[in-house]
This record gives sequence, structure tokens and C-alpha cells, in this order.
Amino acid sequence: MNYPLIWIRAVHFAAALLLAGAIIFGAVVVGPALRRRDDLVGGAAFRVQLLRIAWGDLAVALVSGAAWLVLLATQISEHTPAEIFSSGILWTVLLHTTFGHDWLARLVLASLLAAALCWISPKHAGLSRWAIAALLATAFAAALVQSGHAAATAGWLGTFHRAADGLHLIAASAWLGGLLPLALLLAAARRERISPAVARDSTLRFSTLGVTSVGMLIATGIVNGWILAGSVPALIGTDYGRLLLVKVVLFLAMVVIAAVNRLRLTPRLVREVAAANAPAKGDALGALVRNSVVESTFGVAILVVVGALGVTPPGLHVQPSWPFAVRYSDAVFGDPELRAKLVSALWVIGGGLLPSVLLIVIGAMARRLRWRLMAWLMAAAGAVACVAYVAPTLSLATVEAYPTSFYVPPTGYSASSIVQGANLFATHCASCHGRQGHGDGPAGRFLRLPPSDLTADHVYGHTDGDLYWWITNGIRDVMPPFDGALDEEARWNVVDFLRANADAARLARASGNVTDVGYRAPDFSATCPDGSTVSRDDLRGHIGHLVVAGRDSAERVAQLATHNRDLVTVVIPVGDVATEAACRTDDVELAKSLAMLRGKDVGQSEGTEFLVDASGALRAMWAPGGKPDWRDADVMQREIAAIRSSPSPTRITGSHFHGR
Amino acid sequence: MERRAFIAILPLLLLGVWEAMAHAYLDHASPLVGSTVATAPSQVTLSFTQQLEPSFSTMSVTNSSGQRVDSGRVSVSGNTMRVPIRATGAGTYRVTWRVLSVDTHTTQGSFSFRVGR
Repeated sequence: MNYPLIWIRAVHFAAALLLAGAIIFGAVVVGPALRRRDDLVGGAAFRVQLLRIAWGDLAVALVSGAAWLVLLATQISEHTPAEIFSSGILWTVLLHTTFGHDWLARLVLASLLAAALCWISPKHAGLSRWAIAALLATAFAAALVQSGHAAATAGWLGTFHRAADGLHLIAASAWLGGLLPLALLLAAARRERISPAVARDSTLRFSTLGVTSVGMLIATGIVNGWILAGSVPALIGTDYGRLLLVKVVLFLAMVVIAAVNRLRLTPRLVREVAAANAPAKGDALGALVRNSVVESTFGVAILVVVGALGVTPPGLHVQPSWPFAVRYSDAVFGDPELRAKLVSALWVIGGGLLPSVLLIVIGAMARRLRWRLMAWLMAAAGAVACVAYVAPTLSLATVEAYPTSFYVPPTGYSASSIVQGANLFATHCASCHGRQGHGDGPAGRFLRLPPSDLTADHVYGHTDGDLYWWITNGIRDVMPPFDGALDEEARWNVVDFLRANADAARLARASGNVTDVGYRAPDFSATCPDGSTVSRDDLRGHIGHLVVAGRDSAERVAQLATHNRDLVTVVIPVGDVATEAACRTDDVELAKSLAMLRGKDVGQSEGTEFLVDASGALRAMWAPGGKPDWRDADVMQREIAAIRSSPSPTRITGSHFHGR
Repeated sequence: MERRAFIAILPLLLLGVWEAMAHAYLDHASPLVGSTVATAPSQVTLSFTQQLEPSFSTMSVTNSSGQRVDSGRVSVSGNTMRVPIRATGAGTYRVTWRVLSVDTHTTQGSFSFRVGR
């Protein structure tokens, strides 16, 4: 754990947010309120207080920012602090990294902000100088985005991520950073150092600012969570995701307090001020001060969670452990009868919950506690009855699940993994499941339950993680566990082989025509004549054309040299062949795995061709002599058009066709 | 009141790291991780899940007897990093990398590929 950096970052973030929050408070909350009420003495005193907070935060931000820079430079260069000064590493970080550029820009913003703060006079009620300072302080806080994870997200998604993150920081500044000035202002009003009308107006304005900020925090928080956590299993199955959920719960607690402030205490404050009573102890003002402090306490908890989040790798990059015994499965939608049952169950839920919602609303409006409780009890009973009634039907849409159900194979479906898997399968599995996995192995005949046919459709109903679980732990009374015989990687190799083996039979059935089903291509990486590389996951907008070529394919390869603009041709040599204008990969195992998909040995696979779409899926396979004839340019054009017209193939299993 | 103000400040002082610390993970390599290629490549290319800082990202390639075979001239652009190699003959080659992503996190790793049928 990188504790020093966490704490320096923490202090810097706090200072930057408080700084922006205090000046925003001065510019849009208390400033306009003071202008309308003309409380000269109290206003000037409070503005002095705000400016003091701002100067203090600015100083802390500068010192912690410098410490952050030095610490980062020592950590990334693995040198001591003294060395980074003497050897110029600090300058390299400052002048040649994104972080350094961001720091220089923020230093300029900080200097301008300091000038703007000097320019503000506490006795003056004008707001334009406050507004300029608020803009600079907001930019100073929002620019922190470039020092975080969002800086590294690429492309349009990165722009979107940075924008969302910047807004998140601004909204957090306005709300969290404004709580302290608000508490100070209300406390001053309680001591009659500032007029109650100013306190009331400020509370109303802060309330509006708070609602806007909360809305923005929710929207941008969802965007960031979606980019970083990635999926439902990642949200509930990884430390990062669970911490994120804790943060959300704490945030909701803060929102509840804010709602009490807005819906109960603020109207009470307005009534008290209108009645012109000098507020006494235990009144709305006092309650608001107390709630602001409580709100801040939840803020502490959130920030501790956020601190922990910072040192936890995002859910996207960690295997999610599924905590439930079942998972959702869309297999039921393939069967019209079951689908109809499920849809009617969903209607029952909708129809059954509507009266409950109505009862809750009616109960909330009821004056007497007894009626209210009765309405809510009836609503709860109705909802429970309705869910209990349809629960058995809903279970149609679930299947058994395991902790590893949503694991993503770390092997990346590489050709070498598939080939390794084939060897392991032959050694450990074929005696029962059969050499081709049809469940017809010699030892299998003596089993009470016949071994599963691993090429049948049901294989596509399981995730890679399900298969991995069964290979690891076995199936009770049916199959032994293999966690002793095979290490982790070897078990994933077998999973990859099972996929390729099941796909092979189906690709052959398509006989040269484009399928609308995505059979994942083995990973490949080829070097092209211009020195660039193409891979399964990066075909640069083209359709990949894999050609297994040998001595007898010279004519075909020469024909392919007359380049089709839609295609990027990758030759996989299995003998001496000149590849000239085509890209080429010498991956020995790729040739083997493609031969496996063809259902032949490498020696007999020469001439086989595959088309790979932009998402890395095999869409068609052809071999010499097959009809339609791919050597006919018109036929090829039709195949390309067929892929272009359905660029995203159907996903055939939950995770087999995982994006990458 | 000063004490109350301090209580209100405290949470914000504890403000942790706002952003997730993500890291640059190796996304793709050429030659592929763990693969076997028939002939020795002239360069090794790595692409990562995030943009890299050229000043602090480096890689090296060694042959089965541990000698460096890369030219030492590593070029970085965007999220990819490459180095020319003088690989001679069959055997196992090891690629070791250490990169700094633009969000200031260092990651490192290594893998091997084989040359020869």
C-alpha cells in the first residue's frame, strides 16, 4: 500500500475542494444574500472569514501539490528525493509527462487565483471579483482530472470520462466544500453576528446549489462507475465494486440528511424568520448547524472509502467472484412457451406493485399515524404476496452459478492456449469424453451417467467460468476434480480448447457462407509489408482474411496480392510460400488451431481461408473445392457485403464472446 | 465555534484519492505472449490498456542465455511500445517491461515467446 501518496493526495484534494467550495459559497450563496440584505458589519466579518479559509486552503494545496510531485518523481524513477533534484528527473516529470503539464497549468491557475483573492475587498459587496475567483478556483479543482485515471482513458470515451470526472469534482466542491462555510454562517447568525434574514436567504440558495450538485454527482458518478467497474458481476464480485457500493450507500445517507434540511428545517427557518422571533436555542438554525456537521461526518466515511478505492484496482481488471448460487440467463427466451410464461409473470409484477405504490403514496398523505401505518402495511403485504406468487416463474430466467462464473479467461483465447488445451484434453479428458469430445470415450461406457457431449448446444449455455469451475472442482458423483492434475493456466487452456472444438463443427456446417453467429477467432498478430502489425483485436476497420498457405497455394496468394480494400489478408504459411503484398504471421500454433477449426491436421489444412469481422469473430470458413468458390471475386464481394450488413454477430454464450 | 469548524473541516482533510488508481496492463504483444513463431521477428511490439509516458517506459528482450538482444532504442507512441531486436536462431526469448501510464501508475511484467517449429 502506497500510504504516503494516498495521504498527500488526500490532503491536496481536500484543500482544493474546500478552496473552491468556500469561494463558490462567497460568490453564489452568501454574496447575493448579503447584497440584498445590506448587513454591512456582519457581511464584512463573514467575508474576512471566507477569505481566510481560502488563503489557508491555497497554501495547503500548494505545499501538498509540491510534495505530491516530488514523491511521484521518486516513485516512478526509483531514485531518492536528493537524486531527482540533482539528476533533473523532476524536470523531466514536470516538462515531459501529462501529470507535469497538468501541474504547471494548475500552478498558473493558482497564481491567478492568488491575485484574484488579493483583489477582493471584504468591505465591498460587489460580486464580479468573487465570480472570477470562483471560476479560477473551480478550474484549479477540476484540473485534478488530468492527474487521475480519467487522463488515461483513450478516445471519445476518454473525453467523456474526463468531462464527467471534472463535473463530479466541481459538484463535490460546491456541496462538500460549502458545508463548512454554511455551518459557520448559521452559527454566526445564532450568535446574532449576522442577520437572520441573510442566514435564511443563504440557506435557501445553498439548498438549490446542493440539489443541483447532488443531481450532477449522481449522473457523473454513474458514468465513472460504468467506465471503471464495467459490469454487474464486477460491481458485486470485486473489492473495488463493493467499496463503490458502500460509497453509494453513504452518499444516499448524506442525501437523506440534505433532504431533511431542505424539506423540513429550511421551511421552519423561513417561518421563524418571518415571525421575527429572535431564534432561540434548539431551533431551526441550531438543527441546521447540527445536520451540516452530521452530513460532514458521512462525508468523512465516504472519503475514507474513496481513499481505499484509490489503491484498489478497478473492477474491470480483476476477476469478479460471484456471490450467489444462481445467475441470470437469457436461455429461456429461446423457448416461445417459457418466454410467454416469463413475460406474463413480469406483467403480474407490474400490475401487482402498482397498487402497493399507490398505497404508499396514500399513506404518506394520511394525517393520522394509524392510517398511515395501515396503508404501508397493506402495501408491503401486497408486494410480498405478488413477488412470492411469481418467484417460481422468475426462476426460469436463472441458472445455477458458481464463484468463478464470471471469470474471464486470462489466456485471451490465444492459439497457443487452444493447442495446449488440445494436448491436455487428449491426456486427461478423452478417455471418458472421447477424442473429439462427443462423450463417447472408451472409459465412459462404464459410467452410470454417460459423459457429456462437449460439442452439443448446451456447452454454449455455460460461461467460460462455469466450465472452469467444473474442471477445477469436478461434478458431484459424475466427474472428478482436476485442480490437482492441472494448474490454473492448464484448466483455462482446456476451456479454450472446448470452445474451439465446439465451434469447429458448426463452422464446417456453414460451408463457405457467412454466419450471423460469432465464433471467436484465436488471437493472432501479423506483420504487414509496410511494417505495421494487425491483430484479432485491431484490424483497423477492415475484415480479416486468414489464409493458410503452402507450396500449392502460390497461385491463390498471388491473386490476393491484387488487394481488396475491404480486406486485410493475413497469410499463415504452412510451407514455402512467397507472401509479398499480404500480412504474414509465423505463429506455429495459429496454423495448428486453424487446422483444428477446419477439423484436419496441419498438413492437410493448406488452402483453408477464414473471414474475421471487426469484433474478432470468425464468420466464414472455406476450403479449396468448396461452393461457393471464394476465388471468384464476385463471390468474395458478396461475403464481405454479408458481414458488413451484420457487423455485430449474435453472442452465443454469456462470456464466450466477451469483447476482448 | 472554532472547534465546530475544525470538526467540519476534518472530513475533508481525510479526503482520499478521488480517482481509481488504474494501471496500464499489457493488452497485446507481437509476437503473442507464450506463442511459438517459425522465424525470429525483427522487433517486439507491446500494446497496453492505457496511454504511456515515453520518458518513463522501457522494455528489454533477452535470449535463452540471458543476453540482451534488443537494440535499446525503445520507441513509445500512444499506448504502444516497440523495440528492434537482433534475435538469432531458435530458442526462448524473454520480454521484460516496465511502464508508466499517463495516470501516474507504474506497472511491470514479463513474458516469453519461442522461435522455431
